[in-house]
Amino acid sequence: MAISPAPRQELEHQLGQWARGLDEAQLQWASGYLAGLAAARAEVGASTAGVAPEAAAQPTLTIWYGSETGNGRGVAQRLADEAEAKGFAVELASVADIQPRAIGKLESLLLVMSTHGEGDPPEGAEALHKLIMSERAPRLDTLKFAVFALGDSSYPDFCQTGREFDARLEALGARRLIDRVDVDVDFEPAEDVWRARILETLETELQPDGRQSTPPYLQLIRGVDDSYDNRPDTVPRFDRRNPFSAEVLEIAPLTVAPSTSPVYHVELLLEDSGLEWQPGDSLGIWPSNDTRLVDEIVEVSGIDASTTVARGDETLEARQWLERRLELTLLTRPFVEAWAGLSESGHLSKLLGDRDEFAEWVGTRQVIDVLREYPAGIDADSLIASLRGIAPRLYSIASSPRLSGDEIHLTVKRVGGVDDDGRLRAGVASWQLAEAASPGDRVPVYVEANPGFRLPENQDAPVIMIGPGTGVAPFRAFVQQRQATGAGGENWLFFGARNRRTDFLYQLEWQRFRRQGDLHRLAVAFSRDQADKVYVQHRLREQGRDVYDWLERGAHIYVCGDGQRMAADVHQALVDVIAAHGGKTEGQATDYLEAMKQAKRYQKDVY
Amino acid sequence: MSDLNVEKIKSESRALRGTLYDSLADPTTGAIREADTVVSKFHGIYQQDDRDVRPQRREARLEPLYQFMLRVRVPGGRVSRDQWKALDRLADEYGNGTLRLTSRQAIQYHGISKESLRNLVRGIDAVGMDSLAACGDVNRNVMCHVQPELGPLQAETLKWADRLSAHLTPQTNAWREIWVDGNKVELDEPEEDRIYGQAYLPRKFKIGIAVPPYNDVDAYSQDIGFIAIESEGRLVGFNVIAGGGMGCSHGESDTFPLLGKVIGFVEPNQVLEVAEAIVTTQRDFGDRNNRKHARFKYTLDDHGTDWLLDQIKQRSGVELQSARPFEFTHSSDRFGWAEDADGRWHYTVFVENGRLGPEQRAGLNRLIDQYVGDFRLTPNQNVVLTGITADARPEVEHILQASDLDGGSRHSALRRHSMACVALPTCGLAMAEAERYLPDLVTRIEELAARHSIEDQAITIRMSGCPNGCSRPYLGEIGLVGRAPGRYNLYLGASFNGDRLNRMVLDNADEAAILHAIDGWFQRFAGEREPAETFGNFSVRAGLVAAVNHGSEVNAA
Ligand code: SRM
Ligand SMILES: Cc1cc2nc3c(=O)[nH]c(=O)nc-3n(C[C@H](O)[C@H](O)[C@H](O)COP(=O)(O)OP(=O)(O)OC[C@H]3O[C@@H](n4cnc5c(N)ncnc54)[C@H](O)[C@@H]3O)c2cc1C
Ligand SMILES: Cc1cc2nc3c(=O)[nH]c(=O)nc-3n(C[C@H](O)[C@H](O)[C@H](O)COP(=O)(O)O)c2cc1C
Ligand code: SF4
Repeated sequence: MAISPAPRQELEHQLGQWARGLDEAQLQWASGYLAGLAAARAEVGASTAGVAPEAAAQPTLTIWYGSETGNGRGVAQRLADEAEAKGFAVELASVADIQPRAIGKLESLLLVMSTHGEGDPPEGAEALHKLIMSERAPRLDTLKFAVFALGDSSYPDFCQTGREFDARLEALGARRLIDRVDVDVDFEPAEDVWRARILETLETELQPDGRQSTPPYLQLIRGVDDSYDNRPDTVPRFDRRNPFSAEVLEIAPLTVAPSTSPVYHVELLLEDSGLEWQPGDSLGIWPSNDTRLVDEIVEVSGIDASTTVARGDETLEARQWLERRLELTLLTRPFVEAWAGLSESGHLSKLLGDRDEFAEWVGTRQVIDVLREYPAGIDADSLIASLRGIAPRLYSIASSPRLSGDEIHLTVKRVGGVDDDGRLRAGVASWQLAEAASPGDRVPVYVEANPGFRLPENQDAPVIMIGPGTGVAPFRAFVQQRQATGAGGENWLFFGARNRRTDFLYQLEWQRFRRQGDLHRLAVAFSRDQADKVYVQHRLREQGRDVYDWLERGAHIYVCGDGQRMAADVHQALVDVIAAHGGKTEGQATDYLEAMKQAKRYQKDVY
Repeated sequence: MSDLNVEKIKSESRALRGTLYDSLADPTTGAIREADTVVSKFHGIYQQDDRDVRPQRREARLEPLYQFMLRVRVPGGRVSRDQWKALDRLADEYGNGTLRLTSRQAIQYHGISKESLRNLVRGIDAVGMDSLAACGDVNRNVMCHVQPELGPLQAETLKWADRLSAHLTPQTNAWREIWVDGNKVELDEPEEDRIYGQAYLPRKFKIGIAVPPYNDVDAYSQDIGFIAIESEGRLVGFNVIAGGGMGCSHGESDTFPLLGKVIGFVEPNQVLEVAEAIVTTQRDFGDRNNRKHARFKYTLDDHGTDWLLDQIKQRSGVELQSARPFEFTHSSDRFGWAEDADGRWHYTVFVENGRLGPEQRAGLNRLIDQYVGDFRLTPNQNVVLTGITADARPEVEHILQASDLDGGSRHSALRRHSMACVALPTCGLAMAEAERYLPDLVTRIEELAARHSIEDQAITIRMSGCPNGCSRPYLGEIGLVGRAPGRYNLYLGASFNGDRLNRMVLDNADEAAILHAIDGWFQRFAGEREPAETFGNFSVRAGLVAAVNHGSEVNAA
């Protein structure tokens, strides 16, 4: 577009003023920068310069995240926003969406990386992880980096993946900007500290010589990350740090006696929360501990529950700390370490030495059990200090907003319960949702978007949903959504549980969907209904020919539920099916699935 | 069910096969396809669900607790030792741990899962029993008076029960194919069935053989009742009673129980032809448009006896002779010990409402292992232990006592003459409790009897959970028919020997009202009865209730 003469002279004058005293290189840079600026303006619609966007000459700050349940993504997002505010040109991306080898071209990398499975990379980070850990990894001598590792100290391999990246990047010649931090699930305070530190370091590290930090009016360019819809401007008012207090509408059992693992249907009201979600997303819940458990802790530890205790920037009565702020149902390594000291127990110290024994020991115990087995004379302050901050629990959203509006349905399996001595030994969140809460109560919640678990955009694409146990939850939302949007594609659900008579979650609804023609196939595996145990992977193999046909017809596969064994068994079953019916070798079948993964046609949400 | 086109399903069932294979193969539900629930009845298999847990399962978004009832066909109620041992074991393996003796001398299993059905059927097939035609629109289990001590007469009547049963069994291999062999057979032409054709009968059909003076089979309630006529202990033939039945529906005055009519006498060698002629007559003339009007009793009531005799003559060539004189004294069982000509003893055990739990089953097991020849199931849900030696009697009584079984010493005459249908929780048609409630109610009634010191009086008390009348309540001196939970219609005035129906005296009454009424009757009975007068006959003579001449009056207010 043309510029009229008068302002143009004006502009030339200004530019001349500003350009005086810039050397050649700087002028070069500036010209490129201005072009990019125009392009960026065009993007935001502020101007319509026809110039093609061009990478800014200013060193861009690359922020990559490997995140499965959204925590790392949030950390990376907040970091990017603040870095931009400070004038950095930021390239923000999920490692699921990058070309792994692109790492070779980077100048700087801030890597936010969580750990999943049993010390494994999060969904989508496998490719980069594989490359970096392998012989074929590129040299990274020019790279500057820092790693922010998310983990959960109740798992044996705490922050494993973050640690691996951190060590390996250095080994490949990259220079560490600041030391890695490993954060637990109560990571917010640590995150703020780290963000401040790394940005401070970057200000000095990333300045081209002689130039002071980027002038504010040049702060437009940013790496565009379209890997998820959760852009800053659409970020809802309520989030993990500022949860919405949702009303419990209904709690109904989905299993009947003599079921061995009770599951509940929970309905919450998110009216006026401004929160938005779609099938595949999860709901985060900030749970609070049952008063019975808190009473038991107070009694056994002998502390005075009314003393006020300060921790971080918060001061509360000990009882409140225990009820609302601290993790009591999970044992973490730091706590056991602390307690080994307080109780001077040789056995605990010995346990801490043995990784596997420790892992299996904590799996079946809670804080209260340690307090009972290894008494230690302590006061409120040291008890509170020894415990980890409580973390929210995620639950797959089991309802489609198209159908239930601002109601959210969850499918909650109760972990543990009341033991033979009448003591409450249950999972904090599932117990609260399934048993403790009653309609009218309120629970703090937030929506955890899951861009890696989405129905196909192509409404006519068939979908195969594999969701044994509570893994079936998101598929209830999927089928509802496909029904509500009149999707033409066929739906095939694989469900599994112990007994058909007691554990067939939403049986009547699946039967109705089938009658109405919204669920086209339903394969079930009830492991305890016959002598030999049958699981969904068996059904996949039995019906392998049809499964393969569906895949060839462009079907999308979704796997949800137990990540310990199911996900791997199902993956193997799929490989076998593709090999058997596609006339492929194991290797080719694996590539076939890998390609589907890349094309986002093979998505998992396992826990 | 009623909205199902039963006639269509029957005639398209390809000799009772339907789509049972596919129904059994579907793992996503404990049920079979709706149309197959009609077909399966002909195989003696009813789809039911545990009604006690319906609400909580609905809340849990689970389908009803579908389960199956299997009825083993036992012509004349005779069960050998080996058969009993097998049946008993199967109750634990595939049933709910109980055996249910029925009011037609058969045996029922409850609570069978779809997956267990084949194994159960194979189990009964292994001991030469079946469940084919135990239900459905065909001839049902053929009843026969039970009295081993009768010797030859009993043997001969039993023989005729077997022959009638065999002669009127539907011609199909479907039962064996589906349940025993369990592999799908693609046949282009289903079996021919000369008697039933492709659509079978318009409705169920029932035959019973009585031996006067005993009317334990309630001959007047059968579609065909054969009354054995003897001279010098040998069978010479049968009087024929036609057109009885109990079933009716509340508030539908064109449905009612009816007593069969005595239409004549046949010689033994004419029995099969005449039975077949009556069955085919019902096949051709029974109402196939309205199942509530489809029983043979209505067909006969509408066309009349002469018409039937004419049909029989046309179809079998047999002209019935005029009926021989006979007399019935009672319709209940004779309890306790009886000795036969050869000095062998037989013991009739009272089984409350026919339900044998683990304890009673264990007792009967010991008995049949050590002391008893075979079992005879009675038409009143009880069991006769046969062929016991005199010296074993004390031990037998001891075992009975120990296993909560009794032949008359412990239970009052009132209780021993009471009978309830199954009803809740398994029966899909139940409107009120029966089997689970009658024992308590009888206790209350015993108290009233004691108050008026008539506790030794035998009075038949029959309770059904709905007007279908599976315990033949309209033939009880006191009858109770369920209307709604805790509420019953109360009937009075049937005869003790089963030749007169009762009449409704209280409509939709609760326990208090029922007991109040009975208390009043007992008071009058205690004061005004004549020697040896039965309660039912007294109630009519004393004007407590007007005698019923035709079944249509039973429910008329
Ligand atoms: C087990 C038994 C009652 C008992 O406590 O012993 C019984 C139980 C049932 N009867 Fe009956 N009937 C039983 C003897 C009778 C009798 C008595 C008799 O046959 O001497 C009658 C009255 C005589 C008659 O047929 O009129 C009887 C008249 C009915 C009727 C009504 C028929 C009618 O003409 O209206 C039904 C309902 C129907 O057929 O539509 C019925 C239906 C049923 C069903 C199968 C309910 C159903 O159709 O879904 C009941 C199963 C309950 C359960 O959970 O076991 N049952 N039923 C008896 C089994 C007999 C056998 O071994 O074959
Ligand atoms: C993305 C995602 C989606 C999820 N979706 C669902 C869902 O749809 N439905 C669902 O039910 N869950 C879901 N989960 C799991 C859920 O988030 C919680 O982890 C689960 O409910 C347990 O949390 P809790 O607070 O009840 O138990 P916690 O307090 O976290 O305790 C759980 C652990 O503590 C130990 N433990 C506690 N009590 C006992 C006991 N009595 N005996 C033995 N061990 C004990 C066990 O090791 C157990 O694994 C999901 C998780 C993720 C990450
Ligand atoms: C199924 C599952 C397995 C996990 N395994 C580990 C583990 O082995 N080691 C660990 O330190 N943290 C583990 N975690 C905890 C996560 O790393 C932690 O919740 C982190 O905040 C998740 O970050 P993200 O939401 O960005 O994926 C696991 C979490 C889940 C849900
Ligand atoms: S009388 Fe009614 S309630 Fe009782 S068993 Fe028969 S059908 Fe069921």
